Amino acid sequence: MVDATISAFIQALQENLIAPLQQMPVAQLKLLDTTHDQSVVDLQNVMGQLYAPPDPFQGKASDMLAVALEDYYAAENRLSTYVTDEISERISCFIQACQQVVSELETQIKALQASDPTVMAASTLVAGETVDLMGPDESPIVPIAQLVVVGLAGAAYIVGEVKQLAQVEQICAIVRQWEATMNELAAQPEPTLPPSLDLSQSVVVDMAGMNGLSPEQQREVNDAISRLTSLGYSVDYSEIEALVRAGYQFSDVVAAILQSGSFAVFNDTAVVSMMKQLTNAQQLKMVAIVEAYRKTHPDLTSHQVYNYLRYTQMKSQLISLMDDISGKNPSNPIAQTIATMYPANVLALVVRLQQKVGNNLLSITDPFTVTDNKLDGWYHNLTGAWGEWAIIQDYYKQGKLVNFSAPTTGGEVDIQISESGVTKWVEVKNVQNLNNAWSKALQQAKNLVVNNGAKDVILQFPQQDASTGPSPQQMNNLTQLRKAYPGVNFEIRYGPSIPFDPPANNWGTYIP
Amino acid sequence: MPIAPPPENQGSADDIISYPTDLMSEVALTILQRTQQAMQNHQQAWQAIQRWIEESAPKFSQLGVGLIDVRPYLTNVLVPHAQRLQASYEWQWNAAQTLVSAIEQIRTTDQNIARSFTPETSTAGNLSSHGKGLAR
Repeated sequence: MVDATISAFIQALQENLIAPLQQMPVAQLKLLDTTHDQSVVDLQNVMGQLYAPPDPFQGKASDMLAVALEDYYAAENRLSTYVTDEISERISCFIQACQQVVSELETQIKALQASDPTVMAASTLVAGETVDLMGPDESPIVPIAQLVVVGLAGAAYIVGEVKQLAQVEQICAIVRQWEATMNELAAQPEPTLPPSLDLSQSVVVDMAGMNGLSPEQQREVNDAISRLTSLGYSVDYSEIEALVRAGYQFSDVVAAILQSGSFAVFNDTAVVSMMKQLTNAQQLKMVAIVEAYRKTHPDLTSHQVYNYLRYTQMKSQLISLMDDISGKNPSNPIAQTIATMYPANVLALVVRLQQKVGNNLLSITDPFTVTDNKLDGWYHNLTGAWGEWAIIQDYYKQGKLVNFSAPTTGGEVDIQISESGVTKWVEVKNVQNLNNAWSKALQQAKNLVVNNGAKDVILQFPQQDASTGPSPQQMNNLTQLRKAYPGVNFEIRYGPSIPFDPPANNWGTYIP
Repeated sequence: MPIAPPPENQGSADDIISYPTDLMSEVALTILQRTQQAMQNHQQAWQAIQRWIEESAPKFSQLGVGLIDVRPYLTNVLVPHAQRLQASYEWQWNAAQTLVSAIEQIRTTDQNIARSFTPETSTAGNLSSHGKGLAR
């Protein structure tokens, strides 16, 4: 139970509420808002220069900045909504409520002090219970319900004189109103600021646009940058752009290349041309292979990477071709029939391919070390065999095929056909340029005539036509041969149109 | 305040990209300086307000119990506001820093591009060879 006088109550009120609020630093409170207000105005004026002629800031980053500023200004406008005096509503209401409570309390206290001093001195404030108070009217008991219960500071006080009851009640109501106002102000949320501005992505888009990249390439650049920055890597825009410009179409591959520090070996036209034939997953696998290999071979060159890819492609072509010739390709019924009808010939062709290409190529354990010469040699033999096989199938479809890959004196004959009852010996040269193949073709023709008695010899060039066939000088060589063997018919045949390169569908599956 | 809306010619035409980097640097620097000054003024004012709140602690009285402690009421109203104003300055500061980063980004790239693709040299400050008025 607390027992205190009215004068103590007044003194406590003055010291703990009135005096502090009277000392409120109004100037500093206002300064908070006016400083901020001026700061936002300054920002608007200064930023406005970026959008003014003659040379405004323009592009995606500019647009993004403008939108962010618009959001910011809108938020700060809500924050600084005036009531009066260029002060925010929150601070303005705060100052007003504090000044008002002081004024009202002072008035009420004066009234309370003006009460009968005798009564005032005799009155007590008692905590939380009904008590007997012998006032001037000699009332024995004042029911608690008729007294003023003051809840300040969690205590209940009872005043036993009716007039004072009303005055104290009024004071308490004023204090409670101030408390409520403060709580209400505190509960009012401040306007939310827009998120922190980040122009880096927009700048990248602008840069890509300035450099003439396509929207897809811009997105790829952005994605690669996002990937790298999210992983904590510093971004070298020029390298990302170079890879995208070179033709890499997957941002995760671009990021992986840069992340592995393999930019130099992958930013190579020849390597890119091979990489572009791979799927996204296969490209990532290749990047990982290079990264691992470089740990022990830091001097790995882009050409070695190119040769690795070329080797892998060739391996795929070889295996596919051998399967096709052997009749193992379920989607090639003609090859399956030929394999059944000419098993010995098929075997001979496969064995020749194995000997000239397969044995060597398939024994390679480190494709990064394969030389150009080896690759060129394998490729020459591979394309040659592929050309033969394509022509064999063509003659079979025409119903003319008699024999192929058959041993002869001094070598073998590519194909033998029968046209109008005449057996013809066919030498196939699947080459893009006749220069190196022409003399070999003539030599083989002569061999077929001299050593094997051929009377009809066909030199067949699937990659050429009349306009790209033998030169006059080369035709002169053939004329000489015809003169030497007048009883033999030498024919040049072009086509049929076949790809020069053996099929290499999804060769990336051969990347280990 | 009141704060006017952003300029109507904000942003850019669809096909124009322009980075007036000298102007952007000047703007960013001015904002940084002014924001820093504003934050100092804010801090000084707030320190005075904080002292006042601290000095408003309840005093001993003959009443025998604490009548009222005004500090939580003052704090609950003023601290969020001061923090919100501080956050506003930080937003401005960040915006200026972002502008600086954009300038650095574009300048670095411009140099790289110049080295990699373009034999011509760009004029100092502005990306005249790439950035100004380039139609996509």
